[in-house]
Amino acid sequence: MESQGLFKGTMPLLEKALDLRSLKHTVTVSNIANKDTPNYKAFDLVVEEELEKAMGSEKEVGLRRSRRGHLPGRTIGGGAVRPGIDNTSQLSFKRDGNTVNIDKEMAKLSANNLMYDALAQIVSKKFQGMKEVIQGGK
Amino acid sequence: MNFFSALRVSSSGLTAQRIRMNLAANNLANINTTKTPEGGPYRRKDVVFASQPLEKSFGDTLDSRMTGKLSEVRVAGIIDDPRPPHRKHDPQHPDADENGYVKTPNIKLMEEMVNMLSATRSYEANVTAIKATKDMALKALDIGK
Repeated sequence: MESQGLFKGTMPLLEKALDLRSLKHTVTVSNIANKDTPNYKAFDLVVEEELEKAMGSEKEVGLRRSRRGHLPGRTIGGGAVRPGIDNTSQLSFKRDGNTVNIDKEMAKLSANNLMYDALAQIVSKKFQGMKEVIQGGK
Repeated sequence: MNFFSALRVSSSGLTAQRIRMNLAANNLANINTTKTPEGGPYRRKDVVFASQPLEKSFGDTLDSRMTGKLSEVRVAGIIDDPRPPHRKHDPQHPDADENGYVKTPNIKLMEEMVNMLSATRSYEANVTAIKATKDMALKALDIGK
């Protein structure tokens, strides 16, 4: 990780986590909208796994620096994240091949929402802390 | 861009469920209709949903190619229920045949009520999803305040 000074450390990780949470949200919303579509298969994204993958990732996506004066790009975990088919809900009670479990999706939606809020709050507090330090605690 | 894609997906769900609701109301209203412009009793209408990859704008297309699976719901068509009409014995009726049977629409009251409830619940689920999307987007705007 090459980001320097103020924004090194947990910041890129928090960014990535926020990204993944919002992607997971879109996936869940897509499942909910397609709750009555025949043959639709539910998708899921396990944020924790993806985050771990991104942390341990060898190939980092970022800007290459060919001169010393170049600014560093974002360099945390590379590659596109692809939500997989949700294997835990392949049991379907409907005869139309649809595997969306609406209760699970709604629970996932609010849990994910909470996690997103928590992350956003952490980022916000980090900035607040920095501001306080910059102002010398005034 | 993600939040706008999410909103678009949810609103496609709302539209689809509303159409389904309209058809259920249509079916209920015509449960005793024996005359139609096409002749014969009214036939039950049903809706066919299909999922469609989200590719309306450049952002959507990029998102969808990167992540693969996001899809909105689309009404693929409205079909006539192929089940035969019910027959009711009522020799007084002007539409009765020579044996005194009237063909009435192939609609079952309970089925339509259940269909209607299910559409309502799906609609509500989408509304909840939209609310959640909005809350998340607002929370993101709060960062740095």
